[in-house]
Amino acid sequence: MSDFETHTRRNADTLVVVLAGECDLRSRDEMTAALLDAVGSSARVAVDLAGVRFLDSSGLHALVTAHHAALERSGILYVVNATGTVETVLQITGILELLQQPAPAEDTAETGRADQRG
Amino acid sequence: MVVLAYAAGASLAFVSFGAPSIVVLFLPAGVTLSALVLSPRRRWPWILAAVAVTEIAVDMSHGMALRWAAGFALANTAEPLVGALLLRRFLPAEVDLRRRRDLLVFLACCVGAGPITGATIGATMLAGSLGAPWPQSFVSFWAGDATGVLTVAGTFLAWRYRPDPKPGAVRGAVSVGSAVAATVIGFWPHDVPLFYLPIPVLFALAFSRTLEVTLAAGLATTVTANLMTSTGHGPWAALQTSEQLITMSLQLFLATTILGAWILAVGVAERDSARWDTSVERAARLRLHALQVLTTDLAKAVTSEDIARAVVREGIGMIADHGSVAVVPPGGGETVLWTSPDRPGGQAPDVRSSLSVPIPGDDGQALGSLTFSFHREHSADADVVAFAETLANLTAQALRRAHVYEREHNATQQLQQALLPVLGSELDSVQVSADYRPADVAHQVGGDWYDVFTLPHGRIGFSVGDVVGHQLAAAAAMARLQSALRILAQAAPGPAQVLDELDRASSLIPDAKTTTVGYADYDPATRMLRYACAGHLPPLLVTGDGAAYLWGGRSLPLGAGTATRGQGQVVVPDDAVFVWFTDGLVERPDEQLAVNMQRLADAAGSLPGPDAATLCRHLLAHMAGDRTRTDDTVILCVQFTGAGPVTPENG
Repeated sequence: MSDFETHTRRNADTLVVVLAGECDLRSRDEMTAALLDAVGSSARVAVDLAGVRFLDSSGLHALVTAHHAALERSGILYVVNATGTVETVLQITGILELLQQPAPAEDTAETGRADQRG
Repeated sequence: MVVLAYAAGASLAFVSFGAPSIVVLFLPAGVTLSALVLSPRRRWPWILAAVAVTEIAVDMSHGMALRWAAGFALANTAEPLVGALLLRRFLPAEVDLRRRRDLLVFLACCVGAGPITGATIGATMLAGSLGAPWPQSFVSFWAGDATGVLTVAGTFLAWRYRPDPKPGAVRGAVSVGSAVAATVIGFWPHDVPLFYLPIPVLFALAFSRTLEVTLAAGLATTVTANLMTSTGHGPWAALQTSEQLITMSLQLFLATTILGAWILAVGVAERDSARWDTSVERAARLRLHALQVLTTDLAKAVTSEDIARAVVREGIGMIADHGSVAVVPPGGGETVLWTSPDRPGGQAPDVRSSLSVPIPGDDGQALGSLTFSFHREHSADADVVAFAETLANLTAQALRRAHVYEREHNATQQLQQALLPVLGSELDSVQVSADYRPADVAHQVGGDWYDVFTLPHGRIGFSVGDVVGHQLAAAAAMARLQSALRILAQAAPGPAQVLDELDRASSLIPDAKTTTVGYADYDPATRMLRYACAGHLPPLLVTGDGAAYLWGGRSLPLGAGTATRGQGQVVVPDDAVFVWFTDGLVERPDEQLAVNMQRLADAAGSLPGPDAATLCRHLLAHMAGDRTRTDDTVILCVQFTGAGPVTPENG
């Protein structure tokens, strides 16, 4: 039933976690584990939401939990490619602003932009 | 009894069939053989001695010399002894003459070897006493005895070892009577060859009746045909040839007819047995399939009632005509009974047998019972009992699971009911209507809430919230947050501060992270509504001009970040309705959130001057309809009544 997939790829110093499908209660544990793994292995994690069709409060919870885990390790976790309903949900809840990509003035600008196009 | 039967048969041979002038049908040969086969071996000497004495007595009473009588006695004891010894050598236990092998053994030993022994001695005696030619005497002696054994011993053995000891006396008598009638009719005219008439009758009996009835009819036919012939009726009586040839050919005709019917009966029995095996196999296969269907349904069944209904619907019919399931409620109380369809109430008169098995509980106390009722007597054989017990065990497993669930279900439902506020009429400046639909219909518990409460200085507070998850943990976090919010709201100056303080408090509450909360307060004196959203969907204000979302006072969900919170405010017109909800109302995996929010606003704005309750029902029906909810849904509608007395001093 659960229509959810995750995989990671590395893009320079950024670990990109690609999520796809529905991020809801059924996939919450899988999603949380994937994000915490990524945060544990990289100080800079981008969550690519291009393939996510649905994101409810369970998905938000997973993102916020991973965000806090990254902060504790002095790392950073941000989301890219949120569109449609997913973008609306992130906007309404304020999470999009919380998890926005760091300003492109830093040396990581190129990889970040690449992610956004992908 | 053997003596009596033997004496009667032997006398009959003399009187009716004309012995000793000709050697005829000798029925006592079958009597002696049956007596030996059906008795333990230690009784054999007595039986043989009795037969010998009777033979000598009957023979001498008909004027025969002692030595010849003794010789016939020897012949008539040696013959059954050989037959019985050989038969028991090959068939030591049950003799089932419907089996091909048993029939062949019977024919070879008792119809062949035994009478050949008897005929050898008997022909010698006949040659000595009457001067008859030995070969003809031998053949007719054998023919008479063999037919006697075939008919009498066949009937006795078939009767003794019959598989179904049902009486059916009337049918048996009618069958034998019809054979006799056919023989009488067939043997009456001299010239018209009707003597074949018994053949179809015997064959019909072999096809449709049991072997013992067929053989009894064969015996009756044999006796009747011999009596008819000896009284001058039938084609054999009219034959102008040697009497030995006449009687011999008559016996052979009868023996062939009976044997033909017998072989047909064996064939029918074999066919029925094969069919029975196939039908038993098919029934087993069907049962297995039905059991799989039932197991699947039991796995889906959630309540005791679901389980009982599944068992009644699919389980009972597998083995019984009707039945019922009785379930004792876990906490005690009245036993509930479900009866299989088309049979409401108790047992009907056509139930001839029934079987009840307990549904075993963990502690040895039965959870209930299964009752199976049958239209036939003695239907509960070992297979049926074993199957019934399997069914009872399956039911028990499902019931134990259901009882656990039902306990939990009742507890969570009570908890949920206790947590949601009772919307009373104590608030006279607003009318409130709300609805709560948990996603998990089975558990009736979730992490969403709504709340309405009074504040100091006549103000009124409203909150809606959504804790992540749907289970008990979410419900517990929801309860704590809801209480914390109520308490914090009493002292805090406005919604933004309430949510700020709730955010700090939430770090102490397990499972509270990322909860979204909406909080508003309303002052009837100024008609000022202030609101703030911690990540929560914006409230909808429905006025005479339409419905519009209030996008002010937005901030992050609880425990998500540290940004400061703001609040929005609006002066509400008379009879405006303030609608707040949780994401279950507008979020669907396959639909755009923004589109659904617009749909909600359009639906709210389309009703002219609605009251809170009407709007609440209308929006739920419009947004949710009959679709399965994947998320909890809360909707809260607050109408700000214009005419109500404003009492700012209250509180």
